[in-house]
Amino acid sequence: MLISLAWRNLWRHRKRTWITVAAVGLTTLMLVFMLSFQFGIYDTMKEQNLKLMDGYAQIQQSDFLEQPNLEHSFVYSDQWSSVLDKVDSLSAYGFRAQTYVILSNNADTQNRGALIMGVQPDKEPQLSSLAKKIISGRYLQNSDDHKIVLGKQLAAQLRSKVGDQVQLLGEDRDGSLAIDLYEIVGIADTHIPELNRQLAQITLSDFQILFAMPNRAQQLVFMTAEIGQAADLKPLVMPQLQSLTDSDLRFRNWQALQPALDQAIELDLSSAILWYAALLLIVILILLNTLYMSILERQNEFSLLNALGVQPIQISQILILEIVFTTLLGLISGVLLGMAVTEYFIFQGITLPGSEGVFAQFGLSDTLYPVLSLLSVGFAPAVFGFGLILLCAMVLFKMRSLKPLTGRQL
Amino acid sequence: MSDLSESLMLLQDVTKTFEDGNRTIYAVDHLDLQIRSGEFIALYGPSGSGKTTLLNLIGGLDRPSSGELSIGEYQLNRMSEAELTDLRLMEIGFIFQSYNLIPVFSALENVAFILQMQGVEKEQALKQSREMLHQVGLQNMENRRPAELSGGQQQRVAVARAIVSKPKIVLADEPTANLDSQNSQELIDLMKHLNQTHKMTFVISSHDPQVIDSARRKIHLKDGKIVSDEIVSD
Repeated sequence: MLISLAWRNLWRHRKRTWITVAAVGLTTLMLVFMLSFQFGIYDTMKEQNLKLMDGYAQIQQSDFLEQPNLEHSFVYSDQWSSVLDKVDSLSAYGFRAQTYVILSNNADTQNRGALIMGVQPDKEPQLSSLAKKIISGRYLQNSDDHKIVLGKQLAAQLRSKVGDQVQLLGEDRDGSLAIDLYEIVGIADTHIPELNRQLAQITLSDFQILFAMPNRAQQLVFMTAEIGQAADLKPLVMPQLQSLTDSDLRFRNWQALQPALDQAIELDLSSAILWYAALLLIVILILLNTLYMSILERQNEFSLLNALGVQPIQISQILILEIVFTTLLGLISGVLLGMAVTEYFIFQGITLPGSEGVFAQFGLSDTLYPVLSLLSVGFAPAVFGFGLILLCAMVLFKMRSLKPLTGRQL
Repeated sequence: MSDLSESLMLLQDVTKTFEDGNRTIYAVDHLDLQIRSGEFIALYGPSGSGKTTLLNLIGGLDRPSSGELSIGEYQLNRMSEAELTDLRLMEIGFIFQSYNLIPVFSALENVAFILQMQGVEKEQALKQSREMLHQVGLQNMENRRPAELSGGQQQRVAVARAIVSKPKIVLADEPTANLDSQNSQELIDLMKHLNQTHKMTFVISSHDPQVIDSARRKIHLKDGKIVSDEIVSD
């Protein structure tokens, strides 16, 4: 009876009800889409940054993250592959090693510091997008011997091109001089100038010979189909791999590999959530005001019900049901429409004209795809849920002082 | 004076005062009154005589400033707000001057509402309400909403709502004030009929001579006091 009364009361003032439903619905729709869009940007940032070099997770020697030198490497064997090949969620893996060296051009007229990386050319295209960013020549191959790929700026600074030789000068793991000549087979443009200035890659086997690191690497890089799956790899691989080596290993998720990116996302999301919460609070205050006016306006109606013998708590229930119905209508329509709009853009992508240059600096493409998540769909309903508690508290407070109709009001 | 054992309602030295600045207004002034079961009473008097205030006190809508007031075993002046609300639901029927039906409910639902609030099962409540609407002559209008009924019809629905749960006492405040004379007479006849057939007690506050003339007990109020209390023999 009370439910029926509450539902019908909603439609006594259709326009008012629809306006309230629309306010809740549009806010929810906007938030579902905006948060999904934001998560889409974050996912693109993570994906493109991590796919460029780091992968979704790594196993490293325990001190490598803090001190990335040759000393902090681990010994691996063929047995590792038999462990890793059994992990279904692992789409690719590969070993890497790296150190800082000085590169000189053939004429020895230009010298530049560079981060030389030893990679497995057959594995690397599944781990890193670098192979797709070759603008001149080709990427490394397993059969390559004394071949090198350079970043665009580094090649320019060395005044070298594909086919030229560069001299590499560094220090091997034993502290001896490591020096050799390499032929440039490819030049890559990552669109990240800082990386382009110091990027140099040779095969891991060349690296291990040059730097006295037989069967050693510093990073075991992992890729999974989804970034979220990478964290689940730790219990699947760590205990077994650790048992196969004396080196002290550590599993690093993407947050450990890219703490600045993680913090930037956290900070951006936190400020966005604050803004969205403020927006929702304004809408909730508007609803609160509408409800307050409605209670004042309907004072006689409530007093009449009380005169007939309906307890104030039952009258509160009627009002609370009206608020719940209105909010639910708005939330359900907002969430469904928000999901539909988001799904459309997940399919179509969103291109922001004129922003290509800005996005490229961060390794992003100019087309972004929103991502629906529990948070993007659930944020507005959760805050409105909190608002509902406020509204209900106000109703209960106002109804405490309800008096039955008296005198000529009857 | 009748035997107290027949008493339905007893007011002893009841006073209701209001403050108006520094002045105390006695809306009901040290009033004693006994209402017996099955009576049909008209309260009349000029405006400000205390009719409505007395009706509010009898109905548990307001509390006396002093004095004792009881319906059956219930001491109204000692009950909490929640208990008074329950008493109104279970024991008192109200007929209002401006009908005060619930606009979103049909005539049938308006009548059944009180029964359902009392805890009667929906089907049973609708059945009883249908019968009651039949008794007040609205058998074909049970699905109409208040806005689709005339004033007279709405007041009949209000009467049906007031009596459907067989309350101990039915209170009506100026029930004919918004009706023409024909509808007024029909309403009075209906209330008298229900009073006689159901032995239900009616206390009606009114200026309307038609109502006053039809009552078997006429209580004349002035300045919060009973000026005359006349019982008309059949």
